[in-house]
Amino acid sequence: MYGKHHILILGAKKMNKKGFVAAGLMLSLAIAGCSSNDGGGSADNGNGADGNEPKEKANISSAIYDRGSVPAAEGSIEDNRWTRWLSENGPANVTFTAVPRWESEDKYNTLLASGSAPDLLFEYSPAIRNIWYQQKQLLPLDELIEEHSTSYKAMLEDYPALRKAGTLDDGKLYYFGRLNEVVPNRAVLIRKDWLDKLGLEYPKTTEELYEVAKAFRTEDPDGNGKDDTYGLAVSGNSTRTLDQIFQKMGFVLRDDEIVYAWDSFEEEASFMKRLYEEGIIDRDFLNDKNGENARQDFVTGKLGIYPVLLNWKTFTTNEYKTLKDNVPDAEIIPIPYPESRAGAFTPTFANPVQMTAAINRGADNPEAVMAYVDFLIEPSTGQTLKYGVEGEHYEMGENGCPVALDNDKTEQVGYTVDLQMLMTAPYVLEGKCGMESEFNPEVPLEQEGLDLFHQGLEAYIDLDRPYSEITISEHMPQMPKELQTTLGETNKTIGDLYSKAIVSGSNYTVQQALEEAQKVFQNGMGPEAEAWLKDWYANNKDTAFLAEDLYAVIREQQGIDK
Amino acid sequence: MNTTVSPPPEAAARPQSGKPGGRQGFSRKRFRQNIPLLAMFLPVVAFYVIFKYAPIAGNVIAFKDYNFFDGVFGSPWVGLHNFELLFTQSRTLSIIRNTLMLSLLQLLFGFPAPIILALMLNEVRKVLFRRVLQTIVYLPHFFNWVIIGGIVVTVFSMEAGTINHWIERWFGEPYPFLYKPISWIAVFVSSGVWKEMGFGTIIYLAAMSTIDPGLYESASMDGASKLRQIWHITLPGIRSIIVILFILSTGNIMEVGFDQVFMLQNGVVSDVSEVISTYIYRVGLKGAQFSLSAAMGLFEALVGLVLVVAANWVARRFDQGLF
Repeated sequence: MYGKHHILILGAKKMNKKGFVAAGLMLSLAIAGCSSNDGGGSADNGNGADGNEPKEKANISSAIYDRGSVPAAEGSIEDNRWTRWLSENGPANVTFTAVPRWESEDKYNTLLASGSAPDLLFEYSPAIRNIWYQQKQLLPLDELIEEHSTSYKAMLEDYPALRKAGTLDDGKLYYFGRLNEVVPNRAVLIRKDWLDKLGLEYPKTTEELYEVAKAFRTEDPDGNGKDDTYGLAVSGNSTRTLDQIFQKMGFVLRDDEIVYAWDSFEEEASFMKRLYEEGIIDRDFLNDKNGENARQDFVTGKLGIYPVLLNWKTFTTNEYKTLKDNVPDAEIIPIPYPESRAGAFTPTFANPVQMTAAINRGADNPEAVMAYVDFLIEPSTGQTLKYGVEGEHYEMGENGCPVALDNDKTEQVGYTVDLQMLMTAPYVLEGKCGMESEFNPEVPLEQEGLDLFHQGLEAYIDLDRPYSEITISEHMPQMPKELQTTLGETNKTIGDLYSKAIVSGSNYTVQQALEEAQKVFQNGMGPEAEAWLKDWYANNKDTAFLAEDLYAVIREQQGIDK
Repeated sequence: MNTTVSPPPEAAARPQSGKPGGRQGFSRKRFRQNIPLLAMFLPVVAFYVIFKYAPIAGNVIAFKDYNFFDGVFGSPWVGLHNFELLFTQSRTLSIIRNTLMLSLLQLLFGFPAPIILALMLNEVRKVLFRRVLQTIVYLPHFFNWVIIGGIVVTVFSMEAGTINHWIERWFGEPYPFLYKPISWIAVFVSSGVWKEMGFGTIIYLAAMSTIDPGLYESASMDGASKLRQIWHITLPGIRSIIVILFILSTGNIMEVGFDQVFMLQNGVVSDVSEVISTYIYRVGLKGAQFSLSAAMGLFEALVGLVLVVAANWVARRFDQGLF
């Protein structure tokens, strides 16, 4: 009896792993059975209703990212006033499936493996979408668009780049996308008031970055007499921003040639090691995997330099507002990326041609999904989702752009950003109502946010500087499955050696880490990946969307002459 | 009707005993008598069939290039290709080594701990004190690893950690517990022991309560000390339970629970902290390489099977075999 009890406990533990996949597969059999029945049923209904005059709306399902940002009074991300609005005003009844924003790959894989994934899939990451493609989970869209689409078809004709970006290596179109206003998506923010207090200039090189960070750590810039400030944040999203400064981006483009940036690895590791050993950064950064501690340090006024991934508007209303509430005198400015040995770079920009959606091959009614997509990309739909109802949530400003009303209904809008994943920026279509117009200058905080945004444009739209990556990461080609998996393991090992070099003092030097990492690279299909990428670059450099194409779009949108 | 509630005496007897009175073959009457018992047994059978036996068939994807659309049975065969790929990856061997090492350490320290604790609890005289103590040591078992992991990481962290606060005060420099392989392993193993130790005592305490008190009485009359009584009465009394649990835990040697290691690991110590379960999560679930991770899982299961059979073989030498 005791034995049996124990077996049960073991069994429960085992479910976590191997059992998981297998159980998922079993479930998939069961659920696949159910859903195909459902499918047959609803298709019959559709045909039956065809003869009647008021055509019944089809039932479709759609994924929606869950960022946990829906106010409690508004319901849930799957069921709120705007999801209901979509079903009422759109061409189909939509059921939403929540996908946790930062664990979307696990969630999608589980949904797809069990056959319960929604008809319309939304995902920003091309690596994750590529898995769906490899798993033969996507519906080719060419015919569907040709025969059933209106608005998206027209858009494809007006903007051929959308077709190009959505077409995969078998020559078929798989992804829906949108056009964006190009703004900087990453920035290095620094406490201007601390700089002034200590009589320092903002850092222009990585050496100065070290010195300023050190001063912020040791010279008590917040003046509270306590040794409680950090110079620089290095965890979470700050990691990649710093990597860009040093161009520690793995494979990079130098003199029109693809190379692995080992010198950047060495330089950044030495930089970080110094900061770690002198206690300038939070030494627990490796356990702050999502960067939440760094964010806390920033908004409580304990952090001097904050490299971020940001949306300027939401940053203003969230982090910046909290910082100002906690430390009213705080003043921040964005600074250009400091120059490293590899050069001085621009940060990540918003992707001008961004693929965001695909149709699940198991969708019962692709035509209805197509109609829903056509409805989603209508500018009027986007405007409602973004700003709400005119007169209730916003009014038209003098410049012809919606201005949010400052009333008790402000909570009712603003959480629908992921319903707008197919919304093309009006700024691209009509050249107005860009990100600038999202700030309401009458609200003092938003005016400050607008100033910050303007400073950001000035600091980062400096197109004489090179882009730190080969292209926007979403436009990077996807390697063959096995190469990608093995290279993923190799990169993880190299990343771990890098961390080890930072925290291990004299026991494990940067030089040792570099040598070991190069060995791992050699044995872990690194050279094969390099050859593959070189080959791709040689064959596609004229047609692929590369950094120079990005710069061309920025010049056009910002009206900059070359 | 109350005759149906308790099983007839024959049902309780072991089948091997081959009682002369035991009837062979199917008896309609006996079946009807036992319907409530069988009904209670049914969910257990269903659990094992659905979650334990049926998924075994899913292991075929280890020999296939599995994709969602073609499914388990439609995907093309690739033979041993996944195993080859697995063993060309640089980390595979160290992942298997880490899994073995961490679980052996867990067994080494985690297995005796509840026995010792149970012996100590068994000797506590004041009932109230014992109850309070038991409740407290059970408590960590009921917390999720997400919570315990957060507490452990905070306690041993460098900037905010309680322990490093004192170390810094006395020695000047904080010690990076979670960045050094040795101290990380110590933290990992001891946090696991700490969490499960109390709950593990339940089985042993129950076994101890079945020991005839008369044995203790006569032993103390003969002048045996407390330690002697523990050694000669308590431990032999629970010996069969210890052996059974030991065989069962050897089956787990290839298994390091996912939650604990996932919560505690970080990049610096991945040389020792990357185990099969985290590999399967990362490559299989996040990277959708189901075939590759099924191959790893199958390998793990095979080694586990060999170890269980071996442990049982050893136990049989001492007449304590489980099967």
